[in-house]
Amino acid sequence: MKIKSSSLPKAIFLSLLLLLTLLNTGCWDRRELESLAFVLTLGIDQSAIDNQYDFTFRIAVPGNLDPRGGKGTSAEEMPDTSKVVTVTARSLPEAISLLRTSIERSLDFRHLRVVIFGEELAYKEGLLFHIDHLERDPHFRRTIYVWINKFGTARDVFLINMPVLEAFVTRYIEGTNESIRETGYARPIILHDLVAETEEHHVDTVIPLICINPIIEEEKKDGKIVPMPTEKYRESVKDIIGGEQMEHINRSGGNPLEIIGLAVIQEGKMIEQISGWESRVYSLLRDSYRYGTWTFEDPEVENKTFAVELYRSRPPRVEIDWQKEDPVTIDITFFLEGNVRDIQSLEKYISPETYPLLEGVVTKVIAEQTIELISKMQELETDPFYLARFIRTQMLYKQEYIALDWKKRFAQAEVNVTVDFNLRRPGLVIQPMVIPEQE
Amino acid sequence: MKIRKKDGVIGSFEAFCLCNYLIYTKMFLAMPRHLIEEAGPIAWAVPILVLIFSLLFFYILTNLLQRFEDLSFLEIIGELWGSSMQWIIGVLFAFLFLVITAYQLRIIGEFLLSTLLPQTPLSAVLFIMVATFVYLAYFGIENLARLAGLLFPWLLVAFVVTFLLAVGRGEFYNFSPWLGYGEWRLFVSTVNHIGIYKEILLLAFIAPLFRKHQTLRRTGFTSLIFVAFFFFFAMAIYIYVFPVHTGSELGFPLFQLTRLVYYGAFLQRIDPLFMFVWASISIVGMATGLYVSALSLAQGAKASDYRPFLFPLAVILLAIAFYHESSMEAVKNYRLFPAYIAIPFFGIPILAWLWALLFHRQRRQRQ
Amino acid sequence: MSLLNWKKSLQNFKKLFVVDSSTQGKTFSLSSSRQPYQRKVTLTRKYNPKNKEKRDIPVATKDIQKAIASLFHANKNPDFVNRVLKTSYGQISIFYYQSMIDAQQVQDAVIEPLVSLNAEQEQLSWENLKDLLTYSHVTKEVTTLEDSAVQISAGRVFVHVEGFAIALAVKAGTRESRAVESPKTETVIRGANDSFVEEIRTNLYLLRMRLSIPEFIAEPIEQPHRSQERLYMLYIEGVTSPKLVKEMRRRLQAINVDALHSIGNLEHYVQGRPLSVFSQGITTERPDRTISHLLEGSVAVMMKGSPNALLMPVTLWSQLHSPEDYYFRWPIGTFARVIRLIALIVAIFLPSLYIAVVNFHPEMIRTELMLSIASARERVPFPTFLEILFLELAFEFIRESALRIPNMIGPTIGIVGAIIIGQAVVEAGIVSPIVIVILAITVLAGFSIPYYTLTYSVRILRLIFVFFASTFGFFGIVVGLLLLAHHLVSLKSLGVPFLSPVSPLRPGNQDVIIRPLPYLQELRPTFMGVLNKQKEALLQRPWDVNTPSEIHLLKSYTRSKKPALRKKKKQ
Repeated sequence: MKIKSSSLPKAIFLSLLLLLTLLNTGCWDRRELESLAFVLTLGIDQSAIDNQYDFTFRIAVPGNLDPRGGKGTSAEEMPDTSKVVTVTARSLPEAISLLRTSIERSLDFRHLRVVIFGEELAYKEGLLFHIDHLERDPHFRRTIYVWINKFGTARDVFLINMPVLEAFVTRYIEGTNESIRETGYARPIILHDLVAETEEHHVDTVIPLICINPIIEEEKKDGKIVPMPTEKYRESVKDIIGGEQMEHINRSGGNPLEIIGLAVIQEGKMIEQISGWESRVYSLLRDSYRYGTWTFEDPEVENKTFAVELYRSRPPRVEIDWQKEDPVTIDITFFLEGNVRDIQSLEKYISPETYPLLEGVVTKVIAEQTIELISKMQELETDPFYLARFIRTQMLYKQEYIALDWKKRFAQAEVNVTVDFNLRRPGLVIQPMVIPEQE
Repeated sequence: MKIRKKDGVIGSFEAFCLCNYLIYTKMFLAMPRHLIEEAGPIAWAVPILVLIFSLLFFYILTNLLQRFEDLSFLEIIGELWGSSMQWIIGVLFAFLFLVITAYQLRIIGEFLLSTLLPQTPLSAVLFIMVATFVYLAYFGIENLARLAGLLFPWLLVAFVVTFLLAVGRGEFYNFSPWLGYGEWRLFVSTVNHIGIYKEILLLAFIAPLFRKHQTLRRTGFTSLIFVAFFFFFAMAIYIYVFPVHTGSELGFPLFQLTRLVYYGAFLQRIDPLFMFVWASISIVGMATGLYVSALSLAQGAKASDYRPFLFPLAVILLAIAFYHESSMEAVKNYRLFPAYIAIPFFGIPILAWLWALLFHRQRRQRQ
Repeated sequence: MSLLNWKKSLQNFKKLFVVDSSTQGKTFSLSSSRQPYQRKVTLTRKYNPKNKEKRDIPVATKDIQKAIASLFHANKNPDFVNRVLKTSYGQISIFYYQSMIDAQQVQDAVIEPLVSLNAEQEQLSWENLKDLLTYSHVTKEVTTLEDSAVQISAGRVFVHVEGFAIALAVKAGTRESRAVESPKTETVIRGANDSFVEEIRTNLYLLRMRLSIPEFIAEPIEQPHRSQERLYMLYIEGVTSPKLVKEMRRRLQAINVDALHSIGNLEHYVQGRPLSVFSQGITTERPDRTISHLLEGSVAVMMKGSPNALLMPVTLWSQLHSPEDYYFRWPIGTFARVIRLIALIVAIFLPSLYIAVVNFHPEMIRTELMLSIASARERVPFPTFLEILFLELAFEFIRESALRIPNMIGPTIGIVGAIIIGQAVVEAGIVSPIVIVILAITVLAGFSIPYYTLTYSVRILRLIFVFFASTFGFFGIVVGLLLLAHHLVSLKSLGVPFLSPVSPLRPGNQDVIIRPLPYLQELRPTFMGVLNKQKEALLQRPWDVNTPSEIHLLKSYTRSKKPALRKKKKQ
């Protein structure tokens, strides 16, 4: 008689079972990287045909990448790392399946970074009809950035994009969003924010605007940007302050694309665009502002400016006496602090006694801009600032909050803005340069 | 099956971990969504309210077990109401645990399919999971509990860290209005989810394995409080990040939470890592469910071993898991029936306790 | 087990549903609540000299000559020496194996005193004769022919004097053995540099030199197998749990084979789960390591002819430890252990994680890295897991060939392998460079595990995980991880859970990953069931100003308390 462990046949049986399952399964979800076409950015536009849309995909071409690293020096030497394809279809899933007829690999959206909507689509029909697929399909993540082209179609953005430094479009997108965060000229929005704020009561959302600068668009020839002669550039600049209005920035060379300003979205449709300056005030109100350099007019010398690096020291305090009859009053207080970065007029402002001069300008300008922006939004009966959040925290029941009818009441509200601003540090020099002759 | 101390002694830490796994599995399913849908921004309070009831129930349960030391729950039933009742209730609990596990299995499988393995057939995923359950349960509660104990600290850390990373997207005002849809709806939601911690009954089935009754009591209370805290923690972060309307429409809620983690270029898209957490907890939890089901059957029938029941039960488990045509149907039923299932889970022990209190005065001596 | 035998297969299949009640819950455990499982063992092997009928030793020289010569096939076996000496009191027969005996010693210790004795046969008593052999210290009286055969085979000189029905077996052996060398597989920078040899007495010397206490016992195990007295069980009386010693003795005595060739061979006979990929003991060639485990309550088994000791019970953690950890300062030791733990994890999981990430979840890596991996893979025709398998195979070839190749050209193999794999394979487009990086790290990590048996186990696990990962991605890895963890948790090394003190959790000043300060580690491991828990006195550094004065009080307290405790136990 052989003495054997009784667990042996069981162990063999179980492991056989496991092995059989493993072998039978094949490998349904296993996809080799070289059998996938990664879509890095996606554009959606209104088509020339009714009820159809142009979907533009930027597909990464890994074969053209040098695996040993290092970037080519000029555009000719380096083959494109990505290609742009446009399909016209009724919906995004249809476009994806139609695109498969011409692309050798299966499309993969797990590395998708940004969805860009065209201006026309955003104005007319709105974005919401295209959001559902993005939310539902597990390939799309809720952390995709959303942009709107300020003037024109998303497709143009794809065609004209020429990043200054980055070879990868994904790095370009990440870098740009980082710049947005640091300058405050827009607010980076991801799909999750868009959906959550659209679904929330009493708030409208915003989307950053990307625009094509016509001066540089003119400079782009044969896939290269050649800065125009100075004479011509001097002719083409306009008399504007960059960021104050909706117009483009006076600029030559570099990437034709620039991200500045926000689109206000109500029920999925773009109802208004706000400029870079307004966007900063918006960010202050929405409390998405962290940091930025602001330039103000000098209080004493005309046509000269001083610059302040402005931080938000505390979240804004907003008091709304919503329980009384209309019009409600909204008292907003910003808490800001800043460092002096430039005194163009060379006046001696740096001392505790003269600080109030500069601080006064800052508080006045920001308060004015805030009231201006709020009244602009009041005319449109929209509240992208989500001021209702300050009411929300004083309520007990959700039903009460839903019944608030905030947007109408906001439109009639009286707004007071106070800015609590302190200058903190002067930088590396105390007083500006002294010219002995003028002493 | 008569469990005696010589069959193995279960440590309090290991039993604590096992209870956590068994109870927490349901949180990875659709539960956060249902809670936020029913109670609104105050949904975090539901696990705490249920905890108060569950602590009371567990106190009664331990009181019952203390009266009959060295006996498991079903043996106490046999002592009180005769062996035919022991068999009936054993079969009933075996069935209930099996059904719960089967539904969890189906929904977990559906989630897996809809997120990470979209092309894989459901049957393959379910088969491999059930094979794992049988393997894990086959070697008994002692090894299962030790496995739970071994992985617990790591899973805990991973769980907490992934959730805290998701906090960056949250807004404090999402908790307001403070009472949500009102006290009544909170109460209704609490009643609907009264059975969140019902699986704590596991301890009653393996009661003789504890060295002392005091250990069982302490293990039960600590695991209830601990697991309630984590229900609260996950729910609070879920509400914090997702506004009510968005939160009540997400499939696979906690997974979506981790998909939002986005800190610059390096710390993002960590959701497959989170799968380590939920898949481990669910698989160990469901394997425990299968084990308890087999154990209940064995104890009810006074069989000498639970192991022969495992394989047939696993087949039935798969059959129940495949019963529903669509995933939404399964989710809907899983949402409805725990409230009813809670009745026998709480009712029978309380009834037994009352019976023992009124008609079974003489305390059993420790042998 | 023949699969064709359908009846047997059916029975085996039946075992899935029906549990043999006699084996139920009967594993050996150190826990005091569990009784050792006694099972009636029937030995059915035909060769069993113990059970043979024994014949008395004949009185006449002629008879014994005949009997022994036929027993040892003397005419075919010139190695066997058969001498008859004539003395004044009768004929003396001497038998021995030439190869096992030192001829000079036989002459001096046996023949010389016997021949020089001048006495009549009638006056000679057996006691006198025995006392005569003053030069040899190990003498044994033999009364049967079968026992004499055993003694001669074991290398003793067999002396028979005419007229007595009793004979003497005298030890006069040579100790042909290689010199003590430095260890080969467990080299350390700091610490002792001697290792076991094939000769058991040298080994026992090496051990006793380090632990000279009377409680240190080297018990020879009598077994009914053909080669006698080859196994020694080493333990410390008063420290090692008697339950453990008993169990080990039982397992060793149950072995009934022709021959055991090595300790590695023995492992399969005594370990609880021989099917597991993990070895549940430690085979060491270091005397210092053996001593340290003995002092922690383990049992060691040594074998004549095998330069290793088998230590059981041990834990997985002690397989990750190196004796060196204790010889360096504690941060170095701890750091080395952390590195080894990481190495263990990397060696098991890295290739499977790579497959899971690349084939199932490419969203996990940065877009740029993902695209560069993809571009490197453009030229590779095989799926990723075949790439990994191919490289794994190549690495195994290199490893195996480096072992077999003569020492002179050994180093070249490394270079050749590196060139083949590093350069040519990539250029031929068979594998992508990143897979080489992954596999190289994995293999290096594997070899940084100090216990080489574990390294081999890890290699097999790695392949299993690669299969899991290439089928279900991360989910497959999770399932595999759970199965692995469950297996580890359920393993027992001679009744001690393999992962203790982590699972089951026994908190305290345990020696797992962080190496405790030696003077603070006062207790032996709690899970070994040792009789004497104290490893060292509570107060080790009384001169240190940082030692709080309360500890002095504590020390006197425990001193006075200890005898009382012992008394209680006796009652």
